[in-house]
Amino acid sequence: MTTKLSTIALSAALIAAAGAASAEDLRIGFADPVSAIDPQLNNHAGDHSVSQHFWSRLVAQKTEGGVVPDIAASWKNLTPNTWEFKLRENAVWSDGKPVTAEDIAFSYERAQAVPGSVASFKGFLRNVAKVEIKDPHTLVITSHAPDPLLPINISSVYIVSKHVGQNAATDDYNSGKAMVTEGPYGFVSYTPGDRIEMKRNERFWGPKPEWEKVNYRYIANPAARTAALLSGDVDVIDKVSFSDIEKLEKNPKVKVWSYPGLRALIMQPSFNPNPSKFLTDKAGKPLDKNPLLDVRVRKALNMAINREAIADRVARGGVTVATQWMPAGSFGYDPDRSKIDVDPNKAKALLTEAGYPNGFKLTMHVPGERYPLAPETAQAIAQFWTRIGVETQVEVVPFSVYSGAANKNEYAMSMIGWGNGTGEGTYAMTAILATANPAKGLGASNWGRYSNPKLDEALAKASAEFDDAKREAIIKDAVKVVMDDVGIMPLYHYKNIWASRPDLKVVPWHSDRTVAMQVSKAK
Amino acid sequence: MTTVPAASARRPSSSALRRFLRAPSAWIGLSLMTLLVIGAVFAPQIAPQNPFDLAAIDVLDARMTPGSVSSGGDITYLLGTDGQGRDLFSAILYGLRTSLTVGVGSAVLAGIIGILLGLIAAWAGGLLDAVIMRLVDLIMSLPSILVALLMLALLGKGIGNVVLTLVLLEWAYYARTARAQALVERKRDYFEAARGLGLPISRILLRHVLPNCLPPLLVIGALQVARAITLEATLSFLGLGAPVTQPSLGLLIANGFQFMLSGEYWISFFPGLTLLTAIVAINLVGDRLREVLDPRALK
Repeated sequence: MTTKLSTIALSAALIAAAGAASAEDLRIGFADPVSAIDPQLNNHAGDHSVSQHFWSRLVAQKTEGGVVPDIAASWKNLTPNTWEFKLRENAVWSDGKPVTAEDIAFSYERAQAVPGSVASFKGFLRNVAKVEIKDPHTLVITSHAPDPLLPINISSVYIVSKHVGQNAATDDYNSGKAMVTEGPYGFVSYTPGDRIEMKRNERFWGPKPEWEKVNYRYIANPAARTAALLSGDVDVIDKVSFSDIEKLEKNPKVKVWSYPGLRALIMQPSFNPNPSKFLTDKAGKPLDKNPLLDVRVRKALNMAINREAIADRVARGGVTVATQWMPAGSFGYDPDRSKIDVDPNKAKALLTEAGYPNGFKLTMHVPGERYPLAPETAQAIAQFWTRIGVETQVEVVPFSVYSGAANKNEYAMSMIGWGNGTGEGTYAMTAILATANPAKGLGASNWGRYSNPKLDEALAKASAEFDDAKREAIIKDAVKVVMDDVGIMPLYHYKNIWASRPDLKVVPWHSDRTVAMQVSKAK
Repeated sequence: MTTVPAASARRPSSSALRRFLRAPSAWIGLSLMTLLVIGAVFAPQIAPQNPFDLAAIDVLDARMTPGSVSSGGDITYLLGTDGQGRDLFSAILYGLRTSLTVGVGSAVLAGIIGILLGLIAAWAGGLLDAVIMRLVDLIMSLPSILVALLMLALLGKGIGNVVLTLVLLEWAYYARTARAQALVERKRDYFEAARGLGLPISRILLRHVLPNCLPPLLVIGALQVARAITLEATLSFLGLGAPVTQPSLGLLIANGFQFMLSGEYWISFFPGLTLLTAIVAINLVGDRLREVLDPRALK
């Protein structure tokens, strides 16, 4: 009997030991798909998260904005058009060769022409005219035009080794053949659509990486991610579903880590002067003139939206209210525009003043699966607008259809999720607020075709201003210009939410990237 | 003279009605159905709120538990509210309206088309019969949800297109049964008699053959209504049916299903229960109809 019992106890212990990973290992369940582990193939969120383990950039970005040293230990602006970067001497590839300026020059060339890329890194390097190697650890980058944002832009491009990379294709990275890396973690294996295994890089130049082994597992479904955490299959999950936050916060076996994020959900009214079938009178006849061209109408719509109610009731606290495109505390946020008063009566008065005492009918469009909570948010907004007399219909459209039509300014009111990836205000100004001009790369996501010369001027000035304080002042002025004009209607910023075992600590790394470096043992 | 077959068909059906009501399942099914139909028809009178009117619902009242009182104080949310603050009781009544309209509408339309094609196939025979029946085989061999997804991807979403899709999927069932029945009736003496009298074929088929084929078609009709309601709910659940601001039962279930495990069970549960009740009721009635009208069951 006792032998039997001890056998059971022993096998139970063995099973437990096999199930639980060692304390030095970390298993992450992540949401964003990874297209390849070639760090220069696609500028996709999932690919970025993976790449940050294996590769460094010349300079990196902090989550609160601003640029920090990475492979470059220091840099300076020689003339408005030239930058000199000094590389650290102790960075080595996993095959033992040092990281040199040759590798950087090669990487910037390769990143612009990787065969099979669907989201190229070329845009980040568009202003790089020339990369000169002064000595193995010094290089000078010349830009086409003076560009204070050059370090921020190149902080998205990963550095690969020249001696391996020049003969390697994307498949060689995926198979591991070309994975000669130098980041905090080294490559073990890659199973497309499933997982990536990594190990600590003992020769990493920075602080010693916390984990011996990292198992980075792709779990697309939010409910499955939560289940994997609760069952102990993984130690950390990212992008916790809004429906699970309350449940997980009450669970003592789990810790929820939520931080204000940069990604904004923004509505773009259409400034199309032509009549639209999505803007009609109450009888359904298209209006001769687009009412959204009148700033009083835009103001009325904007002040009718109860953002607090949406954040609390629809998003269950998973977002922070947005009154401008950047979140509070970031570079270019204007504290003077921190509040939009909710006032349905004043909104009605403004509509009357604009010549719509009985309101009108509006159809807004929203993509179904693209931006979290967007369809639910749109319905809540439709309520607020219908109550001031603007009868609103919500059409949920698949993103493939939506992006085409929105980009052609066919919708009266569209929604865009904007990542604010650079962590400062001019990125949104360039892409969604500047007067659309494809040749100059301006207004690429300005779906409503908003155009305000004052904003364009501010953008031009900010783009050429090297003094951070002065640049921020220009951006803040631009916030006032756009928000007083209601060129866009920012709704909220998504929080970045992770959940982990209670004995771990998760801090934001860069924006919503999910990496092993952000997880440590709680002390 | 021409009323003879119709009269002969009426006698068994009146005794069938008596036999139909003999089973308790028929009573349960019928009374549940009546209740739901009344609820759907009189929804605007019964419902405390118009859930399709965006000015009437308030997102501040979202996700309230069953029995809560609205922030305005004028409505008690008997079954709670959904994520947009819609009163679920009202939303269910209105959603039921959509579901029943779609179910009955598509079943009737498909019935008309399917029966006509079935009768024509039986009458014409030969190539036309072969073409129609192979089409029937084709439609019945394809998984309906797949065809529906494809159709709606092509046509775009919306209730009208859902009905169209359902008609396309359902007519085949009527056509096959109508044809089989008509082939039997064709061999009867009254058919020859009517032919002998020189009546036009359309009149023979519709006035004489059709009434004799009706019993099994009625059974199919009842079951197809239930099937159509389920399919509509499935399509709306997948976001291809009703518009988001005018939810049907399927969309109501879809809106709440992620919150089932977070404790907000009511958003999905009550619409789901209503859908289940409707389908069970229709199936009970349909099953009993089959038992009563099936000549083999008479023995």
